[in-house]
Order: sequence, then structure tokens, then C-alpha cells
Amino acid sequence: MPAQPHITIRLEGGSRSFSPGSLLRGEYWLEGVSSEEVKAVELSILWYTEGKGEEDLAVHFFRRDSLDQLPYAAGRWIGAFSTVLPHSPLSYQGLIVKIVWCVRVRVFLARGKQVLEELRFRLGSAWVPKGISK
Amino acid sequence: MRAEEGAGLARWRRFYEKKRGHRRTGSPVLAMLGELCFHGAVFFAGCLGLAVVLVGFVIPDWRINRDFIQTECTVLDVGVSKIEKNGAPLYRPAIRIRYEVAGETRVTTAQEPWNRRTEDPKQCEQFAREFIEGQKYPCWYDPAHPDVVVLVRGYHWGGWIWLIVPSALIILGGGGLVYGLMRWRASAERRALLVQQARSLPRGEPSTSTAEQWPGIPPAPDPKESPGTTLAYRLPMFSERGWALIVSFVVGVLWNGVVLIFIVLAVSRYLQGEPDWVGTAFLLPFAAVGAGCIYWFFRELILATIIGPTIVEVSEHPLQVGRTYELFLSQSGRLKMKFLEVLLVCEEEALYRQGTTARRETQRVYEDRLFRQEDFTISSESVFQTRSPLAIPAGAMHSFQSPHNKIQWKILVRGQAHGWPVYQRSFPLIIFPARADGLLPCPPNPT
Repeated sequence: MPAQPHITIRLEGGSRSFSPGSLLRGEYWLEGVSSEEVKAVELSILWYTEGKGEEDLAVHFFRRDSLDQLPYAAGRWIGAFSTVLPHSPLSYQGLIVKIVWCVRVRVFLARGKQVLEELRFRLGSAWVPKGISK
Repeated sequence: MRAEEGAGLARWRRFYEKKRGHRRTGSPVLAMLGELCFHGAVFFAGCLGLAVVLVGFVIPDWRINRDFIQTECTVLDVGVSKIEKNGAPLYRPAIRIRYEVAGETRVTTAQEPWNRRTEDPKQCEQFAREFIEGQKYPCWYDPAHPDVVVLVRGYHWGGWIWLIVPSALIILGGGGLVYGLMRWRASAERRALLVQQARSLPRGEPSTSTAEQWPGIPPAPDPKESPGTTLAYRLPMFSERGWALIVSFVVGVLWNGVVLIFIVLAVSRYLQGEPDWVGTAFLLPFAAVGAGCIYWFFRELILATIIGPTIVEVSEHPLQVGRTYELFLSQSGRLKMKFLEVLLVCEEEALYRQGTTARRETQRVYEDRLFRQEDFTISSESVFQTRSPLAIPAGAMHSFQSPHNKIQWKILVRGQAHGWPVYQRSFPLIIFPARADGLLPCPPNPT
């Protein structure tokens, strides 16, 4: 039975809420695999839509690494990332349209298998405007 | 762990696919493999076709005109030879010539271009009669094979056109192969990134463009393109009434066109003294629907024309969340109004597939009445005009647009004249998120 990697994503400062144009910094850890078992690791910072409509997705930051490129310490591979977040689109929880921002790590294992982990965060503070006047 | 893809218990791959709502069963790997095989086959067929056209026609035609060496020959015999192609007889001129190559005398039958082969023996004889026995003519021989000689040179572009077919197959198949291989094992994020890069490439926009600075927000209009007369920017109008008018016209013309044919037939039979009362009775409900279509069209026409132009201007555009602007409304016409109101509206719009049908759902999430007036008259001498503050609620979501999802802000002007149904005119707005520095992609015009 091949080993299953365990992915942990952590954002600097522990906050999950960011202002548009601010710096998003963090790191991810990959545990339980060797460099031979992993073909590549993709890190994306992206938004996607949820709700009634078909999913739309746009990538703000993307990086593809091999494990050899990542530092190894205390039994885990560590990948750091940092990017300036854009001004839009802001995170939104509407009635039929929702916009979700996240950091997503996708690990490509040998034999074509993939494992992914994502950590959602909030960009800006846009809300469903209250009120339908009668 | 959110998800694991490609892992699971050993089982047979599904070779066929079923739709389960918007999900699909079946193996994406097999689907991709099938797609690659199809494009590979198209590419291979193109290469094969190109090789056949090149070797069989293009290269020989090119060599005859570029490499063959000119000399002089004597025509010994002129005739017509018959060959069979696919069971049909085909005739070609057969001209035996004598010529010298490097001091050596050779006798052979000159090759004829493919377009001088014909099913008509008389036409072939005409070709052959261009040469007279015993006379001397220029001829061209292949330096590599001196027995190959021609009496007629020139490019035959009709044959070169056949290059288009295999070239098209190579481009289509090759393009599909490259695209498929790029997507092979590529993650959704990587594919999305490739699409984003491909979209920005042809436009060659600088990094400071609005789209890159404000992703997901529809492009902001240039205030200079639509200046207002009272305030800085005149909003473009979207009227559902215009579409209703077009639809009523098209439906009315088509329906009544068909009905009219049957009416003419019924009347002509009546005039001939052979009235078809059953047929005429059957036609009556269709004629009634046709009359209804005519009524519908004229009602839409009157509604579109009796309510005069509605003009909405704003003090700045694009707008910004949390700020207050000024709005100007002008309504012309000769109307006794029951009411007229201006609404600021935010709607979410989602596009989705249900089975094979594409559906659109709209949900209004915000509506604020900016202005309302009841029981008043608009005359041609006094156009109704009013100003109103336009406050974009703080913390509200900005305008957003992606291929299947949209958040749209708009000004809605609704009104009703006595004796007429309610009309509605829509003026889309672009609203940007609030920024501490207040910077927007387009500097607002001064009012």
C-alpha cells in the first residue's frame, strides 16, 4: 500500500481575512511521502464560484515545484508562498452566486493519482446588500 | 483532506457515459485518450494525404518546371493511347519522339500532363494534333532519368489546390493533439491559467489595464464616450420592450404569412363556386391567432413609441461602493402618469445546464427606491425632469462578471400611464469596490 501524503496549509498570522492589495504569506507542509513518490506539487491561489451556476475559476498565483526544489526538515517538505492579493473580485456569499478565495495545494503522485488540500480565506468585506424596499 | 482524485478501489473503467444532473459518469482518462486518438488519426490522415499529393503531383510538377533540361526533339509518331481507370476508358496523347542527350540518341514516348487525359477521344486527338510528325519541337528531359521527357511545361495549379485538404487535416489534428497533450494530466488550475494567458495574449494589454487591475469586474466605460447634458455620464439603456416589439413582429409575419396562404386558397375555391366550409371553419381559429399577433405587435409598437425617451445620467461613472452620487432622470412623452419610480437594483445571475438545456436564473438581492411620484402629467412642452441622490450601500458587493456568474447593478425606471401597462427601462451600472485611496480605473469627469 503506497503512502498517502498529508498536506497542511498555514497562513501567516493565523488570519483568514485579508484586505484587497494586502500581502498573503504562508506555507504548506507535505508529510508521509518520499521524493520518489511525488511527481510534482502545484500551489495555486485562486477564486472560484459556487452556487446555482456552473463553476468559474481564475488563478491569481500559480507555482509548480518538484519535491527536490522544496526544503526538507523534521520529516516534512515545506513550501513557502507569498503574493500581493488583487483588488477584486472580493469574497462573496450571495444567494445564488458565491465567490470563494482559497490556497490550493495539489500533489501529483506516481501512477497518475492526485491529492489536494485547500484553505479558504476571505478577501475584502463584501456582503449581500440588505434590503428590498416594498 | 478535501479530495483525492484518481484513487479508489480496483474496478472496470466505464467505457460509456451517463449524465447525472450536471455530473457525468465515465472515465475522463478514457475520454481524453479517445480525443487524442481521434486527433491523432486526423493528423495521420493529413500527413498521408500530404505525402500522396506531394509525391504524386506537386514535386514532379515542380521538377518539370525547375530541373528538367531543354533540348530539341523530332516527332516520329502522333497517336492516342487508351487506358482504363476505375473501369472507364481514358485517352491521352501518345507522341513518340527522338532526341539527343549527351550525344546519345534516344527514342521514347513523351509524358503528358495529367490534365491532358480525357474521356473524350476526339478532344484527345485535338491535343495530339498540336504536334506534326517529322517536325522539330523543344522538349525537356529529366537529368536524373533522361528517358523521362515532356513536350509541354507549365505549372498546373489545379492540382496544387489538393494541398489544402491534407493541410487542413494536419492543422486540425495537430492542433487538437497539442491542445489535448497540454491538458493531459494538467490540473484545473493549470488549465484555467493557460486559458487566462491565452485570453490576454492577443490583446497584448499592458499590465496596468483595467482587466488586470480589477479582475472579475466588467470593463469600465469611458465617460467621454457617453457624456451627459446635465450630469457627467449618460447611462446606456436596455429595454425589454424593444425585444418584445421585434419578437411580436417576427411571430406576426411568420404566422400570418402561412395563414394568408390558406385564406387565399379558401377564397379562390369560394370564387370558383366550390366552397370548402369544413376547411374554412378549421382555418378560423388560426386566423384569430393571427389577428391576435397583429394586435400584439401594434400594442408593443404603441407602447414603444407613446412612452417617450427615458434619460438617466449620473454624476460619475464607474461608481464605487459606499459613496453617494447624483442621479438625473428625464422622461418625455405626452402622458398622464399613474406613477413613475427609479430603483437602484442589484441582481445575481447564474448560468447552468440542466440536462442538455442551458438555463439562466436571476435573483434580486437589493432594491432601493430612489424616487417615486404619482398622478402627474407629462406634456410635450414640459419634459419631466428630476434629480435624486444615488447612494451605493457601504460594504455591498461590487459588479462581477465571469463566464457563468454575474452580479449586476442597475438603475431601473418603472412607470405606468393611465390606460397602459407598466413599462420598465433598465440602465446597467458598473460598481467598483471601495478603496481607501479612492482610485478608479477611469478618472471621473467633473460635473
